[in-house]
Amino acid sequence: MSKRPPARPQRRARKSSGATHSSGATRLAGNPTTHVRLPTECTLAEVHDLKSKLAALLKAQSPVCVDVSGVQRVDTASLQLLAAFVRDRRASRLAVELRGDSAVFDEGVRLLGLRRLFERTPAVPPV
Amino acid sequence: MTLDLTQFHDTFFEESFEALDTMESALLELDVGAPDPETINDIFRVAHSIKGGSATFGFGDIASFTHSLETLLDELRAGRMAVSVSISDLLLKSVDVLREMLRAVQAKLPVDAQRVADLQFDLELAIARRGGEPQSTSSSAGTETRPRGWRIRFHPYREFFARGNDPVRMLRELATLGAIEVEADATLLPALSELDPQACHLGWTIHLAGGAAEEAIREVFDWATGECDLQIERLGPWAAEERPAPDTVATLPESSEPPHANLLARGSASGISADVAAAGSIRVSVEKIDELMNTVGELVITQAMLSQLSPLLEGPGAEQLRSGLAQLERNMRELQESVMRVRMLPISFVFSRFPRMVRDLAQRLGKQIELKLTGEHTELDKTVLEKIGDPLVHLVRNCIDHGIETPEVRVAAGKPAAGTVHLDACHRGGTIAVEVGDDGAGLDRARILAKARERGLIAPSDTLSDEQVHELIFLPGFSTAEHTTDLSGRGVGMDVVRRNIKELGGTIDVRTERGRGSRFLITLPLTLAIVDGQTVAVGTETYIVPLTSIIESLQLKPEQVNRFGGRGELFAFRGQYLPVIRLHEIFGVEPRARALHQGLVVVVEGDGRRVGLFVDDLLGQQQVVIKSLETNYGRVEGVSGATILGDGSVALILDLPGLVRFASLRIAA
Repeated sequence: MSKRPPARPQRRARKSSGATHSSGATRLAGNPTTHVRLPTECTLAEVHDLKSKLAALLKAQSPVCVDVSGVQRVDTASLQLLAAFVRDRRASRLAVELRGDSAVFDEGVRLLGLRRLFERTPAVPPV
Repeated sequence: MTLDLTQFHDTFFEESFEALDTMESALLELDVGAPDPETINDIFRVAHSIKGGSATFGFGDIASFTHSLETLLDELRAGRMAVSVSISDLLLKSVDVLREMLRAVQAKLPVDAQRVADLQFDLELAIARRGGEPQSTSSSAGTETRPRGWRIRFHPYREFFARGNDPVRMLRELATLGAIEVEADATLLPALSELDPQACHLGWTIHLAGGAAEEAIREVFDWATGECDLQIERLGPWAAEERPAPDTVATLPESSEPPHANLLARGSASGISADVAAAGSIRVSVEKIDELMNTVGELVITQAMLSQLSPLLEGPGAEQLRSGLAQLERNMRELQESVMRVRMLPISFVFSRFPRMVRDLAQRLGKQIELKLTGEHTELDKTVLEKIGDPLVHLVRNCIDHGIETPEVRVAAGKPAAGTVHLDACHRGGTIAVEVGDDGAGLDRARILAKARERGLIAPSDTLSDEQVHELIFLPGFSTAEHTTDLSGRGVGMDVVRRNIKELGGTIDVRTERGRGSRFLITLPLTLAIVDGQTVAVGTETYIVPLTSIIESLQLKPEQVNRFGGRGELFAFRGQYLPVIRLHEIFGVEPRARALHQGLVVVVEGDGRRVGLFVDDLLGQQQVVIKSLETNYGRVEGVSGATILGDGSVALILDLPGLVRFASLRIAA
């Protein structure tokens, strides 16, 4: 491919490597990051499993990176759960970052008015 | 429960293609200088629906592409970018690419990833460069200047999810009614450790822009009846007649229906079906309608059979039965017309492709062309509609390529720089008249003659009237294009157009004036399924003459007939001499009458010519259901199809243009 999509801070044009999130990667480079991948189907049926997974990471001192790229279905229950997770970690001054592209996930976030909470910027609060 | 989404794929594709057509028309209507915010909103909604649908069905490429498209449209909608010619082009290209992607996915073929990526790059680039663009005049997103709209406060109860509801889905549907701004209320969201993940803890305040009907908004929340607090409040300036009730705050009425009962009834959940549902219509496959039409056809035959028996009935109940049969006949006709109406579609389905085509071709050829469409609401049978598309495309291309001159030539000739191509459709009697015309150069008699001579279509010594010269363009292999372009003049020219129209039972003629333009006049039958016919007897056979072609029937006196050359016979009819076609000779049937004064002559018009058909007798008029002879047997010159009569016998339906041609050949031989 001759042309590359222009890099912009909040959105990525195409599924690619995490190059456009480089600022986040740099900030997190010092600590071992814990990665958690959201399931393809983020629905009510899976929400208890997801809660256990996220609850285990709630107090993790290392930055947590939630990879949303595999999400193909998402409902309010899952986004609500993730919202609580992100909010609680930030309240405890613990880093959490969302990574990856999923049009479905983005749409859900936008529709539920959670864009600000889920902004794809590293969430390391000033010490 | 896992829902098999593949069952909704067809609906999704069908609706998406329709939505893209809508989007394309809206884009073409978009005024670059002062875009109508509502039109941008419409375009945005289409992109949004397709994105939502494709994401639901897992068509990631389409969802990703429409996401970029939607972002650009969102910028335009919010007035952060202006609608320029290049943006308009980009959006039109996106429509093309989306259509191709949908077709590819539908056919399970690979998508042209490079083309998609390139265009997506262009979309992203346009968004990234938006800072350099001047502000558009479209609506502002600020609260102070917020245009009319709605504020919706939506607070689901805890059990909301467990009852099969999902706000994501509902808000997605709401977004199809207008631009939404959503604010989540997470004040009641407990800490993760205390959170019951299956309970709803969030609430929302939604601003819906535009003039959506309150009813449509309530319909979105129908599913949630009794499961949430809902307040719908009108915002901004509304005209007095639009403000229905003083109670701007309302709550949902209770209903005994379970909230998820509507889920499947709403189809693909892509949101696109909302308009269809609101319009009170349903989607029915064409096969089902054809089946229905077939059954009605059979009923018409049965009814004809009963009508034929009715004079034979005697006895006390006979009169009652006869009146019942008469009633049946009336009802049959109504039923048939109703079914026919179901198959009728407005010609705008075909016309709608032209604005885009004309725009693109004009750009490529450096011509300025204005397209005028009239009579788009004229309805005709789906089958006719499907087959008329290509001939019309060819005619419009011809008008643009050969008809309309370049702006310089036009100005030099004292005409406006922009040429006009017009398409018009209307009902005329039992037929549809379609006209394609331009105000271009008109047909060039000298060039046509030169080309016809060069091709050996006419002898150098032939002198032809203007009309005859114009007819030459319909001859096979005729093309006057100086350069063969990919637009027209590929040798599959007007002859193919005429043949296709004739196959539909229609006609095409041309009227032209040098320097003033040309008009192609097309007539088409309303339907191909049923014809009003005159049954005529020749010997022991019965034939059907389409009623619309009959001018008059008469009995000739011997002195009215003139013979010439020992072959042809002519008779005087309203100041014209018309040839006689003896049907018994054409079809090789033993007639009851051989002398013209012993039988009847039916004066008919076919292929633009009038002739007299010599038959033994006229039997009556009836509607006949056309059965294709070509499908069931083979093509026969002079016969357009067959039908089954009331007594179960088969009668051939005459194809008058074909018959006239066939007879002239016989006479010439």
